[in-house]
Amino acid sequence: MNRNQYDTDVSTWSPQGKLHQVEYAMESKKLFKVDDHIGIGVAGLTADARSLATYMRTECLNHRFQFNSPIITGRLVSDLADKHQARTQASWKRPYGVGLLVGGFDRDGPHLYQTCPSGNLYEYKAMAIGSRAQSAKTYMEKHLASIESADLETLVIHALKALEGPANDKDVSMENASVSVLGKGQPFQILEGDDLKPFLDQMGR
Amino acid sequence: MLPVEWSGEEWTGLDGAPGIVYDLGCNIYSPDGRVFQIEYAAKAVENSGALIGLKCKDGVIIGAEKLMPSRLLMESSGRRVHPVGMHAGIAFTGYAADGRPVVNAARQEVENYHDYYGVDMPPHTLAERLGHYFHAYTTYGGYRPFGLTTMVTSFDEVTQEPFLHMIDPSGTQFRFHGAAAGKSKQAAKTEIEKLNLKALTCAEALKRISLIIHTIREEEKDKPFVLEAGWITADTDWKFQLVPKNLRDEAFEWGKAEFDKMDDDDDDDED
Amino acid sequence: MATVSQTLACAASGADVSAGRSAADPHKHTTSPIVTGTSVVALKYKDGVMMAADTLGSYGSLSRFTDLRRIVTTGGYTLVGADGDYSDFQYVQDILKELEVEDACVADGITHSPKEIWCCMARILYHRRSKMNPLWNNLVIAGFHEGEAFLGTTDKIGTSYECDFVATGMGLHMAMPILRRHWKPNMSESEARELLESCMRTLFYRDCRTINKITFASATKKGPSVDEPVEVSTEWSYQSFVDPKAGSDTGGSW
Repeated sequence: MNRNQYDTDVSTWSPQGKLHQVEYAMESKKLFKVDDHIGIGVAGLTADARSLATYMRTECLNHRFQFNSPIITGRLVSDLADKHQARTQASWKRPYGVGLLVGGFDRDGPHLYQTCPSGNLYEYKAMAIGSRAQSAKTYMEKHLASIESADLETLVIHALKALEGPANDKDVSMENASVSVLGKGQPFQILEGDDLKPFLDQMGR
Repeated sequence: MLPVEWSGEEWTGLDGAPGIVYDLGCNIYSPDGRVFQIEYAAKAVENSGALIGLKCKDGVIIGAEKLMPSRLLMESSGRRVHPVGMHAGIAFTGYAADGRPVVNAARQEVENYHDYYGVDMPPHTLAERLGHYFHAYTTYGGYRPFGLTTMVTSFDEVTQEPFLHMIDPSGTQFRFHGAAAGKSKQAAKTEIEKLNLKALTCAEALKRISLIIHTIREEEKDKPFVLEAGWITADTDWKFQLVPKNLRDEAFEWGKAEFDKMDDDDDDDED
Repeated sequence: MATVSQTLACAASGADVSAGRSAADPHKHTTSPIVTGTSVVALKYKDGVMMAADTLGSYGSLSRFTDLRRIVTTGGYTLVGADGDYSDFQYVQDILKELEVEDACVADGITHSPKEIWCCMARILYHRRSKMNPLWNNLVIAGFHEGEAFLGTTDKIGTSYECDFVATGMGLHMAMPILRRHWKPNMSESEARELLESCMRTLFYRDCRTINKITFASATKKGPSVDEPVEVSTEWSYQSFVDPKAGSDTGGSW
């Protein structure tokens, strides 16, 4: 895990004046739980992401209060995209500097959405966002058929392999990866650290 | 004469010094009376997929060409045709994200009207309200106009007929027999003018729209697209309905086959 | 922009001022119903849920409207029946219509389930009573969704529960004993109908705010449907009906 000698704890400055542990923490917190049936992964300004995550959680709670049922993911992300769009049409606002991948499991099955700062909203079979997302997309396009019919365990391995990209140019490890899952009978859960060991073993990492 | 001119890169005074910029906001007219931001918004529409609306014998249909830039996308993603009430629907082309507030505004208007008057909002009123909404965004420096052309269809309880309206980024709205927007709209209009709309049913028109879209997208022939459509017809009990997938698929294939036939004939002619 | 309701509120307050009231006066809210409907009765049976209510709109003790529908369908799976203030029920119907239109506009193929509608109604009624301005209704929400029958109710203060059979208003007093004695799980359609008719007949005999014009409705896997009103058979030749005071030490009452 140690990438250098200055990253062992939060109170150590590096010679370049960085707090590596703090930066790692900011880097790693990319997955957020919204509700039992909805989770998000974010790329961009974390502060914007947190405010949108709070909005989404509030909407989920309000829906549970009003209807005693989980909100339909597609309707939530539509409202979310409205919020993105509203920030692009007036000069005294700035767009949200973040894109979200939203996973949800509804009464009509699993869904994966992407929102953009522009207000565009897409639904995907598989998607990656953020820096170096292209290699993951290439991997997923290549393995789309297998991904579409995969069970949850295979899907986790696909996700880890997609992170590595088709060229396997960087190895995933317990230290640098975390995976979130949700589905039928599977509330949102983040797999990280030791949770990933069986999957990494299977991949021979 | 104009006190400024466009050098291709920037506005300059006639003496070559930096001049007043007339195209960065819609709160300022150019000396010849134009609001450039509106024209630029219209450019966003000209770069987007086709939208075709037809008022037929038995109803109104609007069809849209939705481009699919990625294999990973779901076919249902980014729908361009939306119901805004039981009796009304809209479709748009252009800067897709801008469609969101327009759809919401249309739904609000339709709902409020029904709450207040107890009858469905008449088509011309809906088109007018949306026109006002578009126009409002062209009158303030802080806002930008919508990068959209929108078609509206709704059923009029009084005259018992469905209407077709089209609204451009300036907020101008007219009622149409047949309308086209988006890339190659000129070519689409030419094709529409060949149709006998008074004899055409919406079911037939769906196929015609498919053929027109296949015909006019010569340049992007290899870019995959989805045919989306919504209609109000006697068969739907004059309610707005998104055209079911099986009918759209059928029309897509028919249009593709007909186009390929025409294409082959053209090739033969050349031989 | 002022909403429709705000505009109307201004108009109303203007009228108040001209009537000699001032803004300092306390707010007056609904404290009694005007045009009212009486009992709604419903029960689960083998194929789903069945519901009944008469068509009378009473204005105090006057039988003012004789052909009101107090059971409506909503959202493709659900029946909603109401007693109490009829205009409040019309407002409830507006809300149900809004939910329906919202589902149709989103067009994702999903509509609100009976259970969601029941919960939503309970929240609205509880919210209104918390503002000391209740909607004056008991609502019965019944439906058939994803292979399961649902039956629930909420009163005007938002008290809500699910049940196998339910009666509101006078029905609580006179239909519930019948239902408790004769209801059993998995009744056939004709058994369920017979039991409901027996409830409605008894209510017609004993409740002074009924007429013998009953709407029956059901929610099954075929969806919800409300029948045109019918009369239930009555029998007036019972000795105690003919001569209520004969042989009784209760002065004709029971």
